[in-house]
Amino acid sequence: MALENDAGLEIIAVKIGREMRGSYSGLGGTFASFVYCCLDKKFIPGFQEKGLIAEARLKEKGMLLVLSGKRSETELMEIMDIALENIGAFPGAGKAKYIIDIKSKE
Amino acid sequence: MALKTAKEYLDSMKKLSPRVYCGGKWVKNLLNNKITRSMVMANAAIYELAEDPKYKEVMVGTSHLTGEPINRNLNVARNIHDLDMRQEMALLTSQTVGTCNYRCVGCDALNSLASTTWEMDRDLKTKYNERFNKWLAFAQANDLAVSGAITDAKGDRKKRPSQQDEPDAFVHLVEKRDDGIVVRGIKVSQSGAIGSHETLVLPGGALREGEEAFALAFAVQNSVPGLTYICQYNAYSAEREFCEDESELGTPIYGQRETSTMVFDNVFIPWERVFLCGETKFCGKMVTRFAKAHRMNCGGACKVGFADLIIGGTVLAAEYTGVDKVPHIQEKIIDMVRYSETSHACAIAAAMRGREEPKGSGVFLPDDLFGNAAKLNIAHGFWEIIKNAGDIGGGLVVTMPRQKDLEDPEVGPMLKKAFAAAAPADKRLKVAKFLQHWSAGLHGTGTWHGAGAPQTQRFMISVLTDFDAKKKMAKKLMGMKEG
Repeated sequence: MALENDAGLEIIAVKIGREMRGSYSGLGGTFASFVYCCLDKKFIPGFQEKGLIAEARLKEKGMLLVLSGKRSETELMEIMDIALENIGAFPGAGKAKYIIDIKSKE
Repeated sequence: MALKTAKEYLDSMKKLSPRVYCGGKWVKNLLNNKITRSMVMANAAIYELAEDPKYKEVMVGTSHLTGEPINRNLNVARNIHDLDMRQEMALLTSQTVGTCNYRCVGCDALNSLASTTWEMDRDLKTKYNERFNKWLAFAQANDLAVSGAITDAKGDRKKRPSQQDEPDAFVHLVEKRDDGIVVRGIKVSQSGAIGSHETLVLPGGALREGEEAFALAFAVQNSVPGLTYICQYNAYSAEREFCEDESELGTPIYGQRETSTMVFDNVFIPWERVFLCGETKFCGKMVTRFAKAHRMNCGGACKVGFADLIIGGTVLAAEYTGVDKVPHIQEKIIDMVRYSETSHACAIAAAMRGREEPKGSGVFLPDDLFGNAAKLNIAHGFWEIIKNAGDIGGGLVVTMPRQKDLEDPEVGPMLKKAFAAAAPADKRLKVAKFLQHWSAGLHGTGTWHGAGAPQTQRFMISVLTDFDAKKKMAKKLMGMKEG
């Protein structure tokens, strides 16, 4: 964690159900950017279709993101992989500072 | 990973979805649109150059932050050699792709930021340089393609940014939050921003007290919601979009030069990516330092690479027509070389006379006078070069039929008869099309305005030149008394 802080990086984990499914490393502020996109702009980075977000809210240590439509876990993970790379976070391991809990609405 | 391969860059582009509008359509995938693909392929070629051991000295630098090898497009110049290799990179990349190295403006912007944020931290006790270095280390570690955005839409030129009827004519601050800032406004003529991972945004010019909202420098992820790119569209765009076969075009793979208008519609920038916010006093320095780097590279090296390609095409055209030994043709070709190489000499001199700025920062910037001379010289010289290319290439450069028409069973034989000279018709048409790309394309005006229109270089040269010292020398030699 100390190393991450020195480099100014933050680790964002993606959780589907009870499992952590992915870990991404971005510059400090990446999670804040992601939150602004979802809450204020109502868009997921990398996806321009309206209505993809059914629900988004902040939680302790992260956020809950519910996507519209019925989506498999693989599909949810694919969406998050694209979304996080579009906001400047790349696959990387480490202790997560933030967790994005992603669900499908149906 | 400190050096991305071309394939890794292309793979990363497949995942990115910036909001791009081009020629009446929204582009969902940059690689599936012929116009945007040419820009992405040019960037891929720049990554590829860094993979080639032959070009390692030019294309690969060493991070002053980590000691790791990095793409020179993300390098902060720390000595004269770095400056020299920087301008050599501009030459090599232009010779290779015949269009922008779309990471070039970002490179010069980050050098300005390295220098200016260091000075701000020293004078104002801010933390901008620390932040910038963290961003830079991140960009270097992921070998990001970074473009640079300087030119605001500007609106009515008689008015200052805060006096504009349309406030979005300049990128400006909308809101300061605990976790970052929200910005909006428009930057224009942004080369290659669509196919970059990030863009460094600098103020468009010097600002005054009271204009704090426009004093902004930051890095933005290029696919962030709220950011829209509206691509340029012109006859060459249409030709590429609707052609049956891109191999018929002047430069088949990398195209003309793809720019876009970048519209920021309330875009959030976290503090970690903000490198200047409200400090108007430092905007002039930031822009001037960018300009002095960019004029050396854009003026004295990049356009020289273009000139090398044009000269090569012109010599081929002369040979294929059978006029290569004609004295006035040879004289014109030598003139083309003269315009070009004098600009390159200015770039080399700008690098060799570069110096640490400010003292103690460790950042080296090129000599301002030589850099401005390089750009001003090529701005005028480039028109002469393309004029001579059109002269020697002949009317065929703009009157030629389609290359593909040579294959038509009915008109093909007629065209082969018409255009065969000292070389067959297909070779002549291929070269004519190449010269059309340059002499009747976008590069003349692009070279004039890129890195600032010539009037800005004239102004800088007038400020940088010690005319009193020159008068004194003249008077002394004439035996004229002082006073």
